[in-house]
Amino acid sequence: MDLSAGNASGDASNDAPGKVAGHGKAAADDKRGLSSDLQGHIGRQLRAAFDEVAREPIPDRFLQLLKDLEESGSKK
Amino acid sequence: MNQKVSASLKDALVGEMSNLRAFAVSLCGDKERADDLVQETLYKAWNHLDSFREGTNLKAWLFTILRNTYFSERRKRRREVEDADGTYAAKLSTQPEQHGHMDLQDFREALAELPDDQREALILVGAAGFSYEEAAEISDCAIGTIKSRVNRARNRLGESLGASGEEFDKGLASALASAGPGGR
Repeated sequence: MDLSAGNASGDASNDAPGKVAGHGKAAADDKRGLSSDLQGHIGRQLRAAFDEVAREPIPDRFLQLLKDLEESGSKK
Repeated sequence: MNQKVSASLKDALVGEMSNLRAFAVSLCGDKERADDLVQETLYKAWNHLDSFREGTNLKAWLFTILRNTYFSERRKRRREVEDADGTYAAKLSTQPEQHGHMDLQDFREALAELPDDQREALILVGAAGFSYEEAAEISDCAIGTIKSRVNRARNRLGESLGASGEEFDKGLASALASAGPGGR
């Protein structure tokens, strides 16, 4: 789960300078629980799941409902 | 009762509908139920529009109605069915949302397994764009409570995603390597 573990077992030859810095940051964040990379991943997934629905067209039933409510004042 | 709802308020209501739906789906994990929740919320909102002060935060007001509706239904259901949580979780795991991308599917399931209050806090702050303060008002609790719920939710998601996430670690490591150090 922690990226630093992945880095350690991964190809050290692949390590770019930026990655080393990221590694240090992740280790620091571990004191608070999650690596910042995993937090970022969760944040992106969360927004992706939310936005996927938010981008869908509004179902007609809701627009119709508002129209009905408007005509009758209130319903139900 | 509300024969004279201003056109601008009605437009604003329509404008928040997509977000409201997204909140409902994220919260209850079931699209059909989510749309029932939205419908109920719209009824209630319409019939209580006089208690909404125009110019204040319509989105937060609508989200509050929706989550109150959701939680009161959950409480009712829990009284009716003793292991409501168990049956709910089982239903979720056997009936995953069909519309989603596969890479979001694991995430949705992990999200659905969070305790209600943690899931709510995480969605409000992490996806719906509310501040901790606004989220606290919507959930009717202290800011500190929201913060700790968000933290616990993140940690729990991290565990469940990380536990099955060796692929993810690898993919992320290579993504980071190619993206360079500029990120967050």
